[in-house]
Amino acid sequence: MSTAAWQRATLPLLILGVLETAPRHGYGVSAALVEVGLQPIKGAQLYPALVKLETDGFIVASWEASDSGPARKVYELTDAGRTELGRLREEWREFTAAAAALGAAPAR
Amino acid sequence: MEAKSFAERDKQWGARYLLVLAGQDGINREILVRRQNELVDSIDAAGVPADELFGDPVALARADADELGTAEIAAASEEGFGRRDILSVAGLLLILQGVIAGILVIVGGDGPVDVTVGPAVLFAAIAASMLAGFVAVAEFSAGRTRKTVTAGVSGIVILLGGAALSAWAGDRTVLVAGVPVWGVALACVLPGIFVFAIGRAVPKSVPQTQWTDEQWFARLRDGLRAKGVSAATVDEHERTLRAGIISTAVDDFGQPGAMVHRLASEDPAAPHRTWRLKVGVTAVFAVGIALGAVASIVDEGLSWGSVSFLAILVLMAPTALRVWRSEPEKAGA
Repeated sequence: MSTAAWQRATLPLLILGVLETAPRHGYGVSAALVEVGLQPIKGAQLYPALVKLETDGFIVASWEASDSGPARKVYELTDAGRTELGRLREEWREFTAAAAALGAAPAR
Repeated sequence: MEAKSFAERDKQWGARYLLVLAGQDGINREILVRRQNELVDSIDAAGVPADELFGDPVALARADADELGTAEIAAASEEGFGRRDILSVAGLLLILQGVIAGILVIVGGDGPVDVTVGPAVLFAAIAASMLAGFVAVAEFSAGRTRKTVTAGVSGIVILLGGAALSAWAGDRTVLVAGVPVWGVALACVLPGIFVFAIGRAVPKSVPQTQWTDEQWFARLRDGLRAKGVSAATVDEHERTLRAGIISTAVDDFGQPGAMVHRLASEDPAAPHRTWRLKVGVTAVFAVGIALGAVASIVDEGLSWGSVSFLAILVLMAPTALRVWRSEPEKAGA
C-alpha cells in the first residue's frame, strides 16, 4: 500500500499526533507531516477530518489573527484528544506487532 | 494515471476484484486505477499472493466501494441536469402539448372565436405552473432544497390562483374578439417556444474544475444548507476554508459537492433539520389540498373536483407516512 493510502487510513492518528506537541492551523498540520517524511494532505481530506475530530471533542479550534493575512483557525488537542491519541497509538502498536509477527511465525 | 499490472499468479484475483469494484455505485476509472495501483504495490511489498494477503476479492471490493465511492457518486449526482437542459426539455414538451392543443382547436373550431379572460388565464397558469415544476426538478437534481421548495410552491400557487381567477372571470369578459382558429392554435405553441428560447439563452454550465472561488463557495453554501447544516455552521465552514486557501478552492479542496457530503455527514444535527423541513413541506402541501377539497365541497358539493382533491390526499398519504417515519435519531441519542 502506498504512503498516501496509509496516511488516509491513519489520518486521525496522524493529526492528533501532530497537535500533541503544539497547536497548529490546517496548513501547519500538513506541513508537519511533510517535515517527518510523509506526504502533504490535501484540504479535501484534511478539513473534514479536522471537523470530525472537533465534533468528537478531541480537538478545539480558535481563530488567531495573522499579521500577514486573514485570521486563521488554530487547532489544539483536548484532554479527550490525548486519551484518544493514546488509544489509537496502542491500536497501531498492536496492529504493527501482529503484522510483524506474520513474517516471524514458523511455517505450518 | 497509468495502471500497474497484477503479477501472473494474482491476475485472476485482480480481475475478479476489479470486476466487482467497477460494478459498485460511485466508482469511476480514476478510483479503479488508484486502488489497483495500491493493491499491486501492497502485494509486491508483502511478497505473498493476493488471496493470502486480502482474502476474498469480492468482499474486499464491496468494502472498498463503501469507502471510496460514496462521496464521489453523491457529488456527481449533485451536478444535476442544469437549468439550460431542463428549460430546453420543458420548452419542447410545452411545444408538443401546444401543437396537440392547436390541432384540436383547428379540427374542432368552426370559424373565428372570442378569447375570454377565464380560459386564457387558466391556459397561462397551467403553462407557468408546468414551467415552475420543471425548474423545481432542475433545482432538486442539483441538491438545492430551498429553491426546489420555492419553485414547487410557486407552481402550485400559480395553478390554484389561476384556476380560481379563471373560475371567477369565466367567459364574461372578452379579451380579444374574432380571433381566427389558426391564431388560437399558434397561441397554444407560443409558451413552449418562449420557454425553449429562454433555455437556449442560458449559458452553458462551466465545469467545476474551472469554477472561481466565489462559484465554489456558493455551491458549498447551497449544498450544505440543502443538507440541513445550520447557517452559523455553514458560515464557520466557509470562513475556515477561505482562510485555508493556498491556490484556488477547487485545487485545494476538490469538488464542492464531495466536500459538502463529507462536512454534512459530520454534522449530527443536519439529518434532523432536513427531516423537519420535509415534514413541514409535506404538511403544508397536505393542508393546501385539504383546504381545496373543503372549498370545493362547500362550493359545488361532491363533484369531480372535490373527489380529485380527496384522491390526491389519499394517494399522498403513504408518502407522508414514509416521510414521518424517516425521522433520524436525534444527536446524542
